[in-house]
Amino acid sequence: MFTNTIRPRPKALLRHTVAAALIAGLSTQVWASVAAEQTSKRPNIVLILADDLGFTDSAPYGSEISTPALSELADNGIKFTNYHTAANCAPTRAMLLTGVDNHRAGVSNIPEMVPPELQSHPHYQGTLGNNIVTVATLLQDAGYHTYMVGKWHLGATPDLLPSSRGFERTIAMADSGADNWEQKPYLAIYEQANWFADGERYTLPDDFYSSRFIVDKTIEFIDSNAADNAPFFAYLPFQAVHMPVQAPQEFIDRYMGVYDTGWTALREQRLKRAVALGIVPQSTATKMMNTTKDWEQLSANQKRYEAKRMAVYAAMVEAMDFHIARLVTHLKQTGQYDNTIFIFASDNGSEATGPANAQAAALRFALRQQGYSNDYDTLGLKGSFNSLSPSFASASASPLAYYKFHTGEGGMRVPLIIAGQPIAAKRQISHAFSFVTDITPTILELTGVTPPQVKHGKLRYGGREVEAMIGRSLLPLIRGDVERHYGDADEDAVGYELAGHAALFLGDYKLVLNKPPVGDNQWHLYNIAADPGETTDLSGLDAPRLQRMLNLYQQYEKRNDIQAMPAGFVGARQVAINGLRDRFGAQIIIGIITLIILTSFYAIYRQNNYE
Amino acid sequence: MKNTLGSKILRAIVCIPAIIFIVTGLQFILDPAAAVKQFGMPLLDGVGRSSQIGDMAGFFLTCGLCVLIAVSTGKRVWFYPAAMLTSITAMGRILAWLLHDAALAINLIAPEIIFTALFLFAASRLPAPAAPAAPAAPSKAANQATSDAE
Repeated sequence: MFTNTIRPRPKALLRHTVAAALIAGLSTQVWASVAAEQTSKRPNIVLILADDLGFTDSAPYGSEISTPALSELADNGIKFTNYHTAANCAPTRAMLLTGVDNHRAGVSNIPEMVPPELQSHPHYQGTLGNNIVTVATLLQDAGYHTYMVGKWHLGATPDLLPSSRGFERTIAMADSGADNWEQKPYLAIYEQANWFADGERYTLPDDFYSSRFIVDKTIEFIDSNAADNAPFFAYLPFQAVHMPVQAPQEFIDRYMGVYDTGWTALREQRLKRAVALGIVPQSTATKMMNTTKDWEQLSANQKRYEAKRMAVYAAMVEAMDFHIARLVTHLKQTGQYDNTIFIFASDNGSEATGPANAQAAALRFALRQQGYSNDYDTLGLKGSFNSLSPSFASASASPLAYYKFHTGEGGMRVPLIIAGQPIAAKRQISHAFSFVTDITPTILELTGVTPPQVKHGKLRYGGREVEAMIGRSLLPLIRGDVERHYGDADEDAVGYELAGHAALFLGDYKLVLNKPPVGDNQWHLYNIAADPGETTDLSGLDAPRLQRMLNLYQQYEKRNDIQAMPAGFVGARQVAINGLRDRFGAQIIIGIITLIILTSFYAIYRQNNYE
Repeated sequence: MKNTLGSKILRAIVCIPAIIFIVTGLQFILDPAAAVKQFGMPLLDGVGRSSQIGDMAGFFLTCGLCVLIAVSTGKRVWFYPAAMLTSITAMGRILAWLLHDAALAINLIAPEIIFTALFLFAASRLPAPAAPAAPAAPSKAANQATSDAE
């Protein structure tokens, strides 16, 4: 009967409804806060990339240069002593941001150095191909804010700039380098210094200094989204210490007189410190490069000048460190430090293409055409062009042989520090071989983000087929689960090639070939764990290993469709030729056509019989 | 007028603007982004770019080639198209300033007037090439042979 049915009274109904709504609302809030907490627990990632920083250019790796911020990171994290990158800039950046071999990513070399014969080959574009996905895209799609400020050098068209490659906010310099004090190209091959903000042309502020600017803008980006609690990925590719080597005067002053004893003494000092810090084995031997001059043969004036070149270089390193410290302090002050992982590395070894005699009249004339001077008094300041000579570059890479653009350890072995509470490092130093392609898989594992997956038999992301990552996460090493993550099996081999310079890493061994004029165009075999200075060639002593590694290198070459360089290829000359063509090609054609027209009319004039 | 040193110098002088015009015309075809900067305009898109490159290249190449034809062949009438182009351009610039709020581009008008004057001067002063030598008078024997044949 209806009379026996309990019918809620209107007031009770209202109470029940309100209670239900409250419970539902509360549940939603609780669920939302749990979700937010889970989200906020995902670590922030700060990826810092120095440019052309040598193996022992920072204090944690044995340098006399004061780098307290990097030392603090090293103290709170793990130093990798056997970490390798590409031997020059853009290929490293391609591998760093994708975990894919640089050839397959389209960046076999910097675009400025690709010979015309190879410029139509997809592996030799010098710009990041669309067949790869960046770590920034993966993180952004997983809810991360993604920021990038600094040198990009992986493409300058709208579809290639970082704003189209997964970065939410960007200020990017698209060239191989640029002035650190103003918006000015550092090489005549560029018409201007090409800076872009969020994909649009950007004009630098008047008070620009590269390292300060990069950190200022990164902080600005981080703060702009701090309220929403989402984690961030910040990529800071510094211009330091790429040429032109420039630094504020107050930093330069600290290093005046420090390098008066010369490059050979510095190379020895750094070796001793590196040994003391456990960066290299006690028995590490070194060899002197054929490009290293005899310091004692220099005049007093030349010594004074060279010492200042190096002082400015050291000052630029310290200035970068100073600004990294500002970022760390900011994250501490805003409560984000404890949930942030820092990854610091260099893109390749020290740069040795600076002239041995920087005071030569021809060089000074050429610099003046670019609006630069290299006078002693103003060296490193605004309007000054400074660089390292091959001799000090060799000290910067101490105790390693070779430097940038070469596959010797000095070109490829660089510092790597991973720090921060979320990594829970079990060891402070790792001597295991690691490679630049390991960084992206490491970041993905640290953030719990899934890499591209196989669908319908092919690796796909965002609806398109993509290249597979070849790197391996460093987390097992960091957490002390394993001693090494690349073994001695064939599938553990890591190959590398740059314009004919070649290397293959397998276990503790490295097969290496360096092209002339610095190298001898011969294959050598070294145990780089025991002999990082590459002084004892084992190719004659361990023929089976040599042959095995040669076979593996050939497989690597075939797998990545590596092309031979044209006969007579010299990297620096190709940069000049390509630059001349790109910058002045139209003018050269105009000149030739004008000459043809004038010659034709002159011939007509001569045929006419004037009185 | 003889082909004196003075006339040779005058030829060389008029060739200077001719070369500038030809280089500018070629620049509009081969490197328009750089060419437009000299004239205070952006590089247009679409049909605008087509007109910009085609018209400007046509103007400059015609101007320069007319002068070179005049100098090399001695046919002074070829100076007049070049003089007309530069003078009407200068006049157009002044009218654009007066009627359409354009800037008074003195730095462009002045050379155009100078070039016009130079071309007209050259047209009046440069020597014509010598007339080809008259054919030799036919001999009496030849005349007789022709008459016999007829």
